[in-house]
Amino acid sequence: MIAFISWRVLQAIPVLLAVVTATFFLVHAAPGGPFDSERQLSPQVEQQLKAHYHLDQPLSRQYVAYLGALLQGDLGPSFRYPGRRINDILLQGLPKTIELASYALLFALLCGIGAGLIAARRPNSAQDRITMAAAMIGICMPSFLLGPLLVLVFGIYLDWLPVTGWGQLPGDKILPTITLGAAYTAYIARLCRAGLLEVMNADFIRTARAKGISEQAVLRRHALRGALLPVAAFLGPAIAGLLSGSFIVETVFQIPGIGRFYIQGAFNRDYTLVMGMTIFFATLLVLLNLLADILSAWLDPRIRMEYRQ
Amino acid sequence: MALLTLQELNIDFPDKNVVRDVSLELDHGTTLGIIGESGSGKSLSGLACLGLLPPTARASGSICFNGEELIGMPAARLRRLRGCHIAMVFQDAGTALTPWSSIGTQLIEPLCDHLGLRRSEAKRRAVAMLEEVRLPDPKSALSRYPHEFSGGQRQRILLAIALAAEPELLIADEPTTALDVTVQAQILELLATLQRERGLALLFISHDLAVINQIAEQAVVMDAGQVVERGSVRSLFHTPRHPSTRTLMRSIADRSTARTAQHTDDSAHQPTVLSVSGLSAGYPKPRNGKRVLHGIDLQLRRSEIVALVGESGSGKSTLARVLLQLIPARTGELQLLGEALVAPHAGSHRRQRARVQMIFQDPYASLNPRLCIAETLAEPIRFHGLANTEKELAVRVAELLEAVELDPNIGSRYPHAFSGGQRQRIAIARALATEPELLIADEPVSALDVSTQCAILALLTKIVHDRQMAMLLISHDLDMVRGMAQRTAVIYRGELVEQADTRVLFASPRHEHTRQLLAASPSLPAPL
Repeated sequence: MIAFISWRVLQAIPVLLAVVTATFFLVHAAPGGPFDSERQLSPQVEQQLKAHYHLDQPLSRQYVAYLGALLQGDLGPSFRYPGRRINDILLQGLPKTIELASYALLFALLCGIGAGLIAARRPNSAQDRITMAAAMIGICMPSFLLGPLLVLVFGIYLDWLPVTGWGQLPGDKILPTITLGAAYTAYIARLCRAGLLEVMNADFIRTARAKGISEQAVLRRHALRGALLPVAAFLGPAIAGLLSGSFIVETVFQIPGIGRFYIQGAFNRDYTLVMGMTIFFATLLVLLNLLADILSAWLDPRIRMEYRQ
Repeated sequence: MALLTLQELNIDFPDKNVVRDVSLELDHGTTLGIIGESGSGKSLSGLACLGLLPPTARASGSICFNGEELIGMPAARLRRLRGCHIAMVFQDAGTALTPWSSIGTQLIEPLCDHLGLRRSEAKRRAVAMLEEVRLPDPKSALSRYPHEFSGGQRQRILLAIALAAEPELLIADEPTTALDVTVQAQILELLATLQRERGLALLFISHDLAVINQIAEQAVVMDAGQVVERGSVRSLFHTPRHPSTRTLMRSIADRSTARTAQHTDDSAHQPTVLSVSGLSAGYPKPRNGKRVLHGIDLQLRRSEIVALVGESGSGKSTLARVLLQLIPARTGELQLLGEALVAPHAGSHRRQRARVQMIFQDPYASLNPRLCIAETLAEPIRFHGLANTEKELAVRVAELLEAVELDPNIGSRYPHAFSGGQRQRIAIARALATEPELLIADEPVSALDVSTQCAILALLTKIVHDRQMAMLLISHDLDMVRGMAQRTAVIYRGELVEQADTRVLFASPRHEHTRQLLAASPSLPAPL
């Protein structure tokens, strides 16, 4: 297992290097620069600014300098927020984004697995069809539509919940959580249903029933893990998606997380900000996929065996 | 009073009736065989006795166990009977155990549930059970998982689970079909011992008369959902009365005798098609640090069928893969019609690949379900440039279908429309499409019913002779090999330990392992 983890960590290095390189040259290749704006700067000032941030040097040298700083954990200064480091911007917004993503994930897991199990217990019944239809709508509904809709219904018509903010008013975390988690809930419900249906047809379920144990025990002791395996494999990409996909929800509900910096950074050609965010999310994605693999191995001893070989 | 009585049992699915008016009786401590081909309703009849029919199936009639009627019994009461009084073991031990639970958990479960034992007591019982089914090192087995055991060991574990709560009746549905002959012999012996020692009633379901003959005196024959005949296994085999029993018994007998005529063919003067000498091969990461094959010497001539027999893991399939050039040989020489076989990607490799073709075991899995038959057959012809025009291609496809005795107009249909036997014919046609010199058939009939097996074997024999090809027949089924192959080679732990004329090898085996294989192979009933 340790060998497997170290091997996967090693594999991550070329992946991340490729991400850094591609992002670096792509953002620099995009037209415009960080100091282009409606208000034209004088050539002298622009020249000084560029020299200050070493933007006047050849691209290859900038790249090497950036990599050097990166190895020391420094993501560089922001071009558009003078005097602020990217590391600080990340650290400041991250806790809120992580909190939002965690709630959304918890919501998605509880409701998704629950709905999946309910649907799979009686395939093709009303409870199955209604749950799966709801799940389909959940997958199709973009969060920029779902968010305002929820706000309209629960915030304005019914006036039950606050419409914006994060942690300022009681209950203001509910709507963002649901908005962000909805699509993942639906996805997990479908995965869980499919997993359970497949497992219930397996030979070992017949063996378990032939033992004469209760249907509850068959489900809990023999089938449940099979239903959770596909969900576990999906967790890595799901968490990464929740973290990086939160910017729409953050914008709709005006939550000061890191998502909105990502968008603004891209619009403003804030090179270091875009790079920093991308590298951060790429690292996260790699790590979370690794965690999901470890979780799968814990759930299914056969995968553990494959690692050993 | 009989322990189990089935009276006019009917099992219906919404669209059809699959078991009709089945009546049978089983006394305490006796064994009854049920023999029948796939689809005869034998497995469903067994499942009905546990109330484990698929949800869409409906049973009617009467299943009486120990004086209690099982049909219509409340689910909770039926559940107490299951495992506790009636137990069942299934065919495929590989998939019949929950992969993510340890053996201990799965064994202890029925003990705690049915007998109300405490965990520590149940654990002691579990170890004793595993000892009884002669699983090596039963204590440490409790914490291990199913995939860590071999097929035979898993079947022993399943038996231990089934017998843990001391049932009076055991239903065994093809419990040895997925196993090697030697392992099969061990499991059958174990079953017989347990049955004797515990006074179990045993209902043994199988398609294989020879296997039933090992374990039961009495049997019933099922065909198309009905019991057509009952009696002693010997009289069923030698003096069948019902027409469908007669057909079945004839095909069973045919497998080992009918085609021995061609043994008189003298192929010694035919040119050599395949010549293998000093071959060794293995996988990049050898298990147990060993090579899979070593020192293989083998020759195949035109119009000759050579059988390769051995247990699973002996290297049979690896040898087939080397001959197909799917994995490289480490050392040794391989020659096809006097020309050395070259590594993949070399210039003449594509032409060589056309000359060696393979027929796989499972025709349900070996045909692409999304390609119609004509596309499946046309692909290799097109790839190897064996037809110049589309019209020529269509003619070739029709010829191939005729060669395997199928209607040449079925090309537009898809594999799912065909039965197992028809699919295997299509698979054979696919192998013939490139006009190969050497056919490798890996267990070509083991997934088929006995009556279909005979027809496919006869077809293969005919093709090999008509087209003057060589065929390497890989099988663990000695009975089939005896009727089919001129020569037989026995492979054991990666080495060819014996190679001789089939008749000679069966009459006077020289190697110890050949003798073991022959002794383990279940035999048909002795003459009356």
